Amino acid sequence: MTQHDLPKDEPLTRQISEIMRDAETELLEVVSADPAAHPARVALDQEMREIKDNVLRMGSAVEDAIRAAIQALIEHDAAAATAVIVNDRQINEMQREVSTLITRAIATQSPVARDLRFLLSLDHVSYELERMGDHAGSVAKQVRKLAPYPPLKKYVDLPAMGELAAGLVGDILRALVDVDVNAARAVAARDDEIDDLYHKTFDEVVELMRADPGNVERGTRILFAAHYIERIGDRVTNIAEDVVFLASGEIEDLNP
Amino acid sequence: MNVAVPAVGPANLRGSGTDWRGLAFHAILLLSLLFSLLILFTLIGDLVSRGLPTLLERGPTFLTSPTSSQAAKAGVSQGIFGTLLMAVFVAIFAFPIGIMTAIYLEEYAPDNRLTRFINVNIRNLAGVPSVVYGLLGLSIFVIGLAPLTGGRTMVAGGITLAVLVLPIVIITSAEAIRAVPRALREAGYGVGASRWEVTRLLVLPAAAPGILTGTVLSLSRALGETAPLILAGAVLGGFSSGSKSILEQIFGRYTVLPVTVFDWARKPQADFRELTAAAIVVLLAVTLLANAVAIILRSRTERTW
Amino acid sequence: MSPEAQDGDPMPATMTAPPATEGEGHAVNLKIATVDRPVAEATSEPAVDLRGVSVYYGAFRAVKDITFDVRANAITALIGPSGSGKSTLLRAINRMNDLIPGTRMDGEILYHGQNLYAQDVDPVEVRRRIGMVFQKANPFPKSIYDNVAFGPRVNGVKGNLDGLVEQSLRRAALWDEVKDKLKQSGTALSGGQQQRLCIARAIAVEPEIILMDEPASALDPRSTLQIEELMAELRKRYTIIIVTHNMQQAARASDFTVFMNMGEDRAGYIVERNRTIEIFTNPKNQLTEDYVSGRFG
Repeated sequence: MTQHDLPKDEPLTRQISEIMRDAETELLEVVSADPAAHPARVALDQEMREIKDNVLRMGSAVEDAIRAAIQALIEHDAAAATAVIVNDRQINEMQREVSTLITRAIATQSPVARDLRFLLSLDHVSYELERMGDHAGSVAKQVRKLAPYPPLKKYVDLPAMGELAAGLVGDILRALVDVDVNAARAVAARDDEIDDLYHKTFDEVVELMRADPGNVERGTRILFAAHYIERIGDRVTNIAEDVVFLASGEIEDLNP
Repeated sequence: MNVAVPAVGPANLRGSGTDWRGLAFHAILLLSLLFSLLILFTLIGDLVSRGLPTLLERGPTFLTSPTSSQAAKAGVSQGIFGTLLMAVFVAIFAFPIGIMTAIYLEEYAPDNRLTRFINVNIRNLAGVPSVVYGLLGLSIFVIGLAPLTGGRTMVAGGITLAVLVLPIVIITSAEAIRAVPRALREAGYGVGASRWEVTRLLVLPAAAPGILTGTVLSLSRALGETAPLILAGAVLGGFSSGSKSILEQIFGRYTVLPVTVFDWARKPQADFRELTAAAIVVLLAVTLLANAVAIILRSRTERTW
Repeated sequence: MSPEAQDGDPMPATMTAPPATEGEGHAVNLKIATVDRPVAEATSEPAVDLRGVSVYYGAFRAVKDITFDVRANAITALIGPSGSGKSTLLRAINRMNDLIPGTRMDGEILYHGQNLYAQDVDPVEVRRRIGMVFQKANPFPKSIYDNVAFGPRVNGVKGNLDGLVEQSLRRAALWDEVKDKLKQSGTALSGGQQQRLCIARAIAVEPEIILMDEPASALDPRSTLQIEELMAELRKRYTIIIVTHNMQQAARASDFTVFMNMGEDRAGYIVERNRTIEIFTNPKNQLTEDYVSGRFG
């Protein structure tokens, strides 16, 4: 997976946004040179571009939130966790804005066919991203409760899950931008890795709790956190279904 | 491409002064109108002033007496009779044939060179001087068809006039039919009407006002014609119809008001000057009457729509 | 429950979920309620079947090789940019093109198995069974009554036409507005009313198929919607083929859509033909996608 080749501090979605913007500018130059090539729905296309940019920005923010929450967990850093919770408000705000833009586009531009599927997909995707942000926030809330105490064990699987989830978010948004159905299906399949890690964590922590009742509170909170990350993975799968819908108009169940 | 547009500020709202050219044009138009009216009124005024005394003096006897070499006894009864019958002939011969020709040319004839050729020629015929029609009438209807028409009779004269106005009837009817919007015909065809039904039930009723206008025009033209009838046998000078029946009169010698006017105008006697004027007044009245009848008929058909 | 049931249309489901019945505890009926658009099932025979139809104006070919069939009791829309030959094709179906000298047709248009352009076929009979409503309402300059009665009369229907006139006006959703003024001139009505009068006039001869050439393009939005509602009702009794420039109208009102385009030889051809919902949510052809999205034409 190429995500390991790119610098960790620059989420994929942000890079995609940059590339997209350059490509659009180039296209616009080509197109204004030849009036005959100029698309007839300038207003609609502009609105769809804006909506797409906003969704990609949301994706970046969600990736950041996931990684920040995991980092806060590893370091048992309550302040960092609080920051994640506060930032989630921005993600919610972004989702409201995207929804408003989409409603306006549908009401005023009468989109049909692909344009319509695009707008409907992005509305759903923004909803899923907003929920993912909430899940990251929920992880952070558990971190805040865990923070005063020493960690139950060395965190290994949870960070792996988190990194995987963040990576999947970036990947699925790239598949969305490319409308690449095969990539989407591949990303959806990799959700299984998160599920496997979740089960492993579950068994481990339950064992730790059985061994010593003093571990129960910390253990339970860790399980909650793992559960939220697993949910993020499921939501990536939902977005993959949107990519398929956008490409073919079919509704496929990618969540076995 | 930059065109300097003069700045439009508040001061320019009043424009650049009065539009002298526009006013001058308006004045010229008005003058033309006044000129035309002047001629018209002068003409009518002159006629009426000269003819009215005679009419008032002689009264109804003027209208009921036949022509005579004596001014005091001469009247226009034969002229009136002849003119009225001419109207009937024109109506019977020119109108149906002319209208049906127009229908064929507009609705049924294919749009090819032959049809266009025919149309052009009909227009040319409308411009032929009426004297020529007189010669035609003389050679064909008076002389050639003498057994049928009886020679210099009202029949021959009437048919001659009918032929004269036929092109006018065709052209005006064709124009009226052409003016019927295509949408009306399409609507008719759309509900399964045949061409005959569309023509009869939709096109003709819609074109009727225009067609009738054409007939009014042609009738006025016919009633005023002098030269062709002189050639085709109207009597100059006097003749007696006496106690003949109408049928005998139709197949006998005849005259019409314009010819009477022409005849009297040529006479050297001074008294016939006034009689001429009086006869012209009667002619105008008859023409107006005929037109009025036609216009009434036309407005009747317009009202049903 | 549903009056349409007896016409053989599938019953439209109720708009709200039926209440849970007593005595079944907390069982809740979770059946999804949908508003079904009743579309006639395919009978064995289409209303009209076009095969390889090409229409020529003199030497110029206006439409090329058109093949599709029109399902009975459904609304089929012909859409496409200007010059794609939609109106020409429509007018070929009821032989209105015959009125323009120099037009000629290749291919077949089959109606109940008969080719409409066979030698012995009378165009007048064709137009009796395949009626037409035009773009600009063109009522006859006659009374409303005579407008509707004209068609039956020229087709030989004798006697009292009051019943037929009323029925036609009712079916055209115009009766209530004009029942007290049947003697008034048809041209004195508003635009939308005039168009409905033209529809009444067309259905008075009891055609099987009604062709509509942009029937609402000259009307205001409210009248347009009225006409569309009327079409939905008429569909139960007649087959409707409509040419329209208005994409939204085609999407709203039709069951099937045929998308035509002008080729490089300036002849119209069919790009795609499918159920309307497919054409407007998931067209198979990129050209169709571009056209319905408003990106060309």
